[in-house]
Amino acid sequence: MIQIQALEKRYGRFVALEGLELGVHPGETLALLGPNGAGKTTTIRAITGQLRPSRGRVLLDGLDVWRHPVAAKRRFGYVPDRPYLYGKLSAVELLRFVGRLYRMDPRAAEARIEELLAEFRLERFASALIETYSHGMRQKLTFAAALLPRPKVLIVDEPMVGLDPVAARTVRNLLRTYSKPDRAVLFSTHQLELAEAAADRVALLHEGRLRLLGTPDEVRRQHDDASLEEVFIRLTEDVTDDASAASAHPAP
Amino acid sequence: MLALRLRILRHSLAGRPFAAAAASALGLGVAAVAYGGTLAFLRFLAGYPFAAHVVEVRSVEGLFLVLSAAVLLSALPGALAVLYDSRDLPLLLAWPLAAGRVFAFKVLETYVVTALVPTLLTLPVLFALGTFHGAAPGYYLVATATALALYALPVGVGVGLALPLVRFAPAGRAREWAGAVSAVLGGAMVYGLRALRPEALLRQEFANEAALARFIEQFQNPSAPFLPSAWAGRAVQAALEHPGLPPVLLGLFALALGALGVSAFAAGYAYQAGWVRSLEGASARHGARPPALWERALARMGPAGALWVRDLRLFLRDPNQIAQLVLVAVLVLLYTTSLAAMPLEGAVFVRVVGFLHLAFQGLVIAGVGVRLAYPLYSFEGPGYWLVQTAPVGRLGLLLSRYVLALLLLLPLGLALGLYAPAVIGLDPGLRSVSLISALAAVVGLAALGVGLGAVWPNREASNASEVPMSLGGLLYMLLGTLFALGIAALDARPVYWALSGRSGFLSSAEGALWLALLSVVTLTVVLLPLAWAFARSD
Repeated sequence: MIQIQALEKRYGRFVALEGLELGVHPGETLALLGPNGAGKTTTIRAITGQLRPSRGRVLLDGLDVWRHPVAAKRRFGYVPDRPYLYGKLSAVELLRFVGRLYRMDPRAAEARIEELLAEFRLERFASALIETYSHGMRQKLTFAAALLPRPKVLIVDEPMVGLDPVAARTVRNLLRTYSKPDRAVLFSTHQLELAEAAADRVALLHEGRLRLLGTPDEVRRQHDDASLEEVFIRLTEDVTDDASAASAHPAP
Repeated sequence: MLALRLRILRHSLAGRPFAAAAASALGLGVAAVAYGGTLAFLRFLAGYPFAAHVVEVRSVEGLFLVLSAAVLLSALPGALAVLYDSRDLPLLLAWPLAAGRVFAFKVLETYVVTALVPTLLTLPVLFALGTFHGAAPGYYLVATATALALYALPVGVGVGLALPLVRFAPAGRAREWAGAVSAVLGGAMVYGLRALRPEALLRQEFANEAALARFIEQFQNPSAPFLPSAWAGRAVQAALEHPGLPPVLLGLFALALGALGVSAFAAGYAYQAGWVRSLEGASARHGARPPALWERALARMGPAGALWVRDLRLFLRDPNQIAQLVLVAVLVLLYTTSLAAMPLEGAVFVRVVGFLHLAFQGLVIAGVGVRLAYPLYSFEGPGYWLVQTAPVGRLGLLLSRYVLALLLLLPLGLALGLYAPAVIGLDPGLRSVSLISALAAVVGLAALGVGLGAVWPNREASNASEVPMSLGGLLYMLLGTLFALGIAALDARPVYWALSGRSGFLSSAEGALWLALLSVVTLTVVLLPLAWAFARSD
């Protein structure tokens, strides 16, 4: 569903992503892990066509995001880490807007909007302006907007920020079940327990490179049955320590 | 707090050195023009010793009055943005700082945001006055202090007007109400200026000594001696004539400090009593409303229609945009009613004024375009990700912005191109030329605005007036002015044709060539910026 091939993003001398190769298969949920600044959001922005890669390409359902942007974008729904929405629109107006951008049939769109507003418990606020919403309500609305066109791929950057417990459970279930049977989910998170609970495979990014890829069980087995948290800390600290040691004792 | 703000300013200037240097050069250029222009005006006045002093005094007071009104106009939304809506206020109030100090700092920030530019415009004028009259060094201090004190008053009034808004405006609507009040104040101010009937000056019989003496006698008596602008004028004159601190300046300072102090104190009270209510008291509305008929009609046009529905809703719900529309409408009304009131006697004079109108209309459209067409890409704001990640082509997005800019500027173009020539009384041939020129200006300036706005978007701007403050905005104004002047240069030919008593220009071979030239120039202005924007947009 998602094929990331030799993806690289540079800002001058700074390398945000380097030679990233990663795939998300149909029926699979993949969690992208990594410390702050690891390159998770850069990867997601490159996949969603917001950031032009310096090298490499991203295929969505076989379509290159930068060569066939309109067709590729029709295949995914996206939830960003910060839910900036148009404050002067109401929830229902925003969802209708999204439905029209995806050329949905108006009747089908109305029915789906009703369904999603109910699912995320927003129906009481459907006609209130988004500027009056709390952070969590905006996040829920962003999920509803992403799910509206029933995309083949769901891409979520930091899904749990600002959600109340009920919404958090809804989203956790969504991440776990949306990919079945023939769709795919890619989400980035700092919450390792969420990754363990919802993802079929996890990928660890650090300093722009892929450090680890596998199912949570495989990862634990490869690291002496340590918890995912311990593996995470070990791998990210090792790399940082190696880098610090290298810079403190440069090769002659 | 001040040190922190200065450090942030230093970092943002260091982050964009080119923009900072360009803005500084522009500011210095404007100051130099104001200084040189004032000196030239004073030298010109010196040739008329019987009226020079009166005109000089009243001109300074007039400048103070107009700029005070401008400060008042921007102080209300400025106060809401800085005092109640700023992102750092909750953080500052959570720190172990006295709330009074925090709000005093915020009032000071409002003062800087709204009064800095008028102060920087006033000082070169006052300094030119001092240079011209050979004033003592102390004059320059008094002049600076006068400007600072004068503009503090409308800031105090603006903050005062914001208080009832946050206290009593319906929940979540304080900003909308502020926009409406500003628009009404702005319209009233412009009509107030119109009420002075400047065209009456044209009707004075200055050749008649008695009438002239009567006019000067009337003109030198201030019509509102208790206005702070009159106080400031008196302070400046006193400092020019006698070294030392004029007592009237002390009064002005006391008033300014009192206004700022009281407003800072009251702002702190209103923040807790009113603003929290206006944010937290937002009422939930039940259920989804069906789409309106116009919305359904536009939505049938696919993604472009969806974008227009969104744009119309956002535009009509943004008080800043509504305020701008009201001001544009008032200015057009002012322009056309002023044309109607001018004593245009004789066909030649009508055609000369008509040519001035033809030259001016392009500049007016360019001036409005910088607020309506240029920011269209920036209006996407931080929510741009929604469109960027949706299946909308770059060309479709660009063209939808262009068509929207055309629709926004077209009513203005028609008012200037069709209605104004009718008011002037131009002959049908020149009326057609006026309409064609106005439409060409609309078509070209909409593309120039959208194109350059797409190349230099500012999606972080908190309001429309911030967007053009960039290299792209300056380039738009420069190229837009050149385009408008280019159209005016082309228009000179049909006007000359009419002045020499001929008719039927547009149906002549020369008229066809004129149309072809105008089309080529307009198409160039349309295609180049749009092509650039398409190439640069992702």
